[in-house]
Amino acid sequence: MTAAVYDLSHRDLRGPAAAGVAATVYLGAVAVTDPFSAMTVRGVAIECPIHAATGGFCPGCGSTRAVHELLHGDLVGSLVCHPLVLPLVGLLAYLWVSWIARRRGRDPWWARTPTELPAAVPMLLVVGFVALTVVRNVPGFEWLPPPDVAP
Amino acid sequence: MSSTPPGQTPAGWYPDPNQPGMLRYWDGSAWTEHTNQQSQVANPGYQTYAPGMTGKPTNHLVPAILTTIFCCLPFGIVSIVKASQVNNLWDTGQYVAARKASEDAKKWWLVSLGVSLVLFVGYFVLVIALGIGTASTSSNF
Repeated sequence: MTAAVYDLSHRDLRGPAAAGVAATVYLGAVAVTDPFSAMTVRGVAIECPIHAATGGFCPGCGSTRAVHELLHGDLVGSLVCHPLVLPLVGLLAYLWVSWIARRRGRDPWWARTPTELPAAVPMLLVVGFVALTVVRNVPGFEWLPPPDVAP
Repeated sequence: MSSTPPGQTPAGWYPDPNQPGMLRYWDGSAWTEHTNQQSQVANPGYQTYAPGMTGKPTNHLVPAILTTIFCCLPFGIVSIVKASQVNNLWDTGQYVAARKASEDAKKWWLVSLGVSLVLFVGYFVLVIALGIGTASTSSNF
């Protein structure tokens, strides 16, 4: 590690470092707040504007609650809130570690950029998001709604 | 947009789909038997045979995923669809189409981000305005 600090290539790690700081701030904020209760500003409860306007659930609805459950160790709760958050957190963490490995001038066999991922990965995400959005919003198929609608 | 459709990629030297590190000559409709070392890409004149196509374009998958999750709009899914096409198009030699898919992926996550910023900021301003109105008639404030 000491060698890397004095290596010119350490400058290239600013991108992964910035992403890591942003993710830590976001995860910390979600961990210590309660996304199951509506946020209030000056006594007015704020609902998600998309849900307030349309009454429908967006593709990401429940993701903050899913992240909160994940950070509190409740895997099942996370999957109930948003079934794609757990695999997506894993995918993004993997891409972040790959990014660092490449930026440090290494090319381990497991490292992939987003573009190098098998095409099945983004295709599965598309199928997952579309299926989730449909089953949450189509009348008669409303299983798996977010447990409690909040931002 | 009058970009060249797949199959009508201009003639020139392109990365060989079958031999990594090699360039193969594309005559405009099919690969020829002429190959070249990829190292010539380092020559100053490489742009004459591969204009603007010196590397695989990024598929913008990460911003596509993040805008799908955070922007509460379906546009992010369109971006992921485009992202899923970049790698296959590039690997099958459809460089123009791959670049177009990459640009489309970027366009749709930017649309998702832009529209949601307008919606959310507008909504937030509205709520704060309402909150001030409520506060003035409420004994709690």
